[in-house]
Amino acid sequence: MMNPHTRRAARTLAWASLAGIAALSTPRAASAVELTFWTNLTTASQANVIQKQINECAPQQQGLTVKFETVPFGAMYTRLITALRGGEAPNIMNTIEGAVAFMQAKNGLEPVTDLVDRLGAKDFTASYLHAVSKDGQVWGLPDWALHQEVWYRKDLFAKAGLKLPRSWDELLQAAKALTVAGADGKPAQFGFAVPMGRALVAPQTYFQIFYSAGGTIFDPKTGEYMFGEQKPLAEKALAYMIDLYKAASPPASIEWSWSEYRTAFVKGQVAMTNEWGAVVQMAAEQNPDLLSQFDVFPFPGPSAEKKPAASLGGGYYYLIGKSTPEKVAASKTLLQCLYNPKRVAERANSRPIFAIPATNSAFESEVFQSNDTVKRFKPQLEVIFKEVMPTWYRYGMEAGLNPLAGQIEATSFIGDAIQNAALGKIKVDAAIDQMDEQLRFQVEMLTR
Amino acid sequence: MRLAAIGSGGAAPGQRSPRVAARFAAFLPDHKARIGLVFIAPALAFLIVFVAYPVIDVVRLSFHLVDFATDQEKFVGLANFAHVLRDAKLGTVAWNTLVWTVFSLAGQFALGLTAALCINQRLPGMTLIRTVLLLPYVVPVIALALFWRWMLDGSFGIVSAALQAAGTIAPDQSPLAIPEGAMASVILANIWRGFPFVMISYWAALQAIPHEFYEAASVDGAGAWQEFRYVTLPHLVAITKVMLVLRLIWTVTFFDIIWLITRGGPGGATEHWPIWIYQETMGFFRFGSGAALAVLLAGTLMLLSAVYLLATRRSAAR
Repeated sequence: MMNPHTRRAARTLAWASLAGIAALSTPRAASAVELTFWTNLTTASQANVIQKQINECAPQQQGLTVKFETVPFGAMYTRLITALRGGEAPNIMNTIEGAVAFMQAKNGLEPVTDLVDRLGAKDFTASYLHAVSKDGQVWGLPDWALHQEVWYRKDLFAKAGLKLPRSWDELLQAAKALTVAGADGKPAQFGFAVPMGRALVAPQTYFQIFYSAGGTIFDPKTGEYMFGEQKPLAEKALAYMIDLYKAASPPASIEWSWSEYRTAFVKGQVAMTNEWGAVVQMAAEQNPDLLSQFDVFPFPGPSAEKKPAASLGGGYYYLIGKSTPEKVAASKTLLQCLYNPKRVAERANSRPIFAIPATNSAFESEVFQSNDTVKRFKPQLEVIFKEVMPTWYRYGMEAGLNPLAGQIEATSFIGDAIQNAALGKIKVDAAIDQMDEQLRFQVEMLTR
Repeated sequence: MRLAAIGSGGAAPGQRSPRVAARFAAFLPDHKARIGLVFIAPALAFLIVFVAYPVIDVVRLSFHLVDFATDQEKFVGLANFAHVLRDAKLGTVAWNTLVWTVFSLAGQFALGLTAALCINQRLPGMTLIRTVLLLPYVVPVIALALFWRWMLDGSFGIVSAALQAAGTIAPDQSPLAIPEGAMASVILANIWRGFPFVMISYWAALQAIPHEFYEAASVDGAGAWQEFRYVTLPHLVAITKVMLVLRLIWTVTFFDIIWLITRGGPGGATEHWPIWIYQETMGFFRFGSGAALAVLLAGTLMLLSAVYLLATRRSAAR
């Protein structure tokens, strides 16, 4: 039994404790922040690395929790539309530049210019910052590069006594020389895969050639639409693509997507292909003996005297969705932690060669350079990093962010024109007219 | 107790005013009808929310220009309809839809009827054969599409290899890379996918034909063809009418199989109406135009179904 004094003291102590707990818990509750974090990278090896890094970085901010979610690329735009309408866009998103343009056009993004400055703008490969810049601001943090160059078989080149092509014509001649008939007279090997899958793939193949000749949809400096003014160049590029297809590519490649032409290259059916580097991992799994024969060169320009003007590339970015100042600040702090060069390199290493860091510090880091696949393909990486990655465009984003890129990727008007020209259903000039007409219409709709 | 109160027309205090109850009773004077209404209310609510509302909203959207991000809408009258009807690919897409539908239906009904006649025989192992024949209908469409793409692959596909060996297509060529071949391929895949439904429906109808009819025909000296022509076929007319309407609607609106096999290519050779709707809506994000296309398709289907049902009723009346 407690006496009245003790009881009073105990009661006072209890109240004081409750008040103390309340005082402590109130500011903590106010600082509790939950961020939603989406990535398009659904393969376990890539998503797990990001999740691990979030788990390392999130505890550095008191009260921060991160809800991590993988959103497949195919479902991304649908999810984004739903999220934007519901006011629940992700706080951080890891995606390609087309989606950055889409979100920015819908006023769904916070600029990350200050974060780029804090991390060191010079550390980023300039072309990757340029692609996501608009109105004097940077709207996405470049993470790793998507790059497209010619992958070829060294052994087949040596056997045919071929040198590396430095012009369109030399490439066509090499492709013809490498198209070999078997004992039955049917092609046993094709020189160059020209994939023209209706969605995504046909535009990617075409614009690789068009960019190499110096063409663009928009003027990179002024942002003016200029595809229509470059019709002769556009026609020349398409005519060349069709010549290459007819001379040295399997007939069925008119509807090939990535898996088909990569399989053809890895199985030895084709000697060269425009590629993003995914063939390395594919060959390691399916035909490892062939890996030592893989090499790369930039897709050449029309003339041997002049280097290719640019290539078709892309990249994965981190972007920050519009939200409360607390969430935006927490997102920036979290991304700053994720942009430690070791972590950037670790993310690129989750799909080596296909993904190459977009920052110099990560590219040169021990973590990246000591990766077995990176070590094995060091000469090829040097070519890609120094000759391909500095000058690239994404269709429609030559002058910076533009949602046209997303529409080209999500529809098939360019693929249809290319396929119909390759099938001989329409002439090359008519195909370019169709593309020009549709591009103008889309630009008008987007700016209305 | 509540049902009794409603049934008697009395108003429980605080639940319903006598005026409302009287109107309700006047509207549905039959006691059983009112009880029935209470029972169907959940289903009715479900239909209103999940069927009627989306349909009405699509019709409303077809007259609006929509900014999906800001949710802002602007009434544009018939502009969305004018936009899609002026589109250069209207003719090609309409023709593709017609070819896809007519040949798919013809193939499914021909194969379905033939298969139904076969499985209607009393032979050993028929249960197993029936189960096997039903498989295409229960296989997920994605598996079916990948299976067809693999068989039609120009380098490794068994169908392409056979066609190449026969000289029908060039070496390393695939039917999917040729416009006519691509359309034929997706139609074949759809026939393969859809015929079991027709087969099982016809089989059920065949089971219902009294055996005495065949015995009588046999006594009258009818041969196999005459039995089929004068006994079997007339008994299949009713089920055919229903199935034709159902399969027409399902086939015209079937999106997955073409999208997964050809994506509407090559060069738009297999792009039909639902793919066009998808591209307008989820490619260009023009929800109003996509809705206008959906309304046009629905209107055409309703008109076709109405004309067909009217025609069959008239012929039945004669």
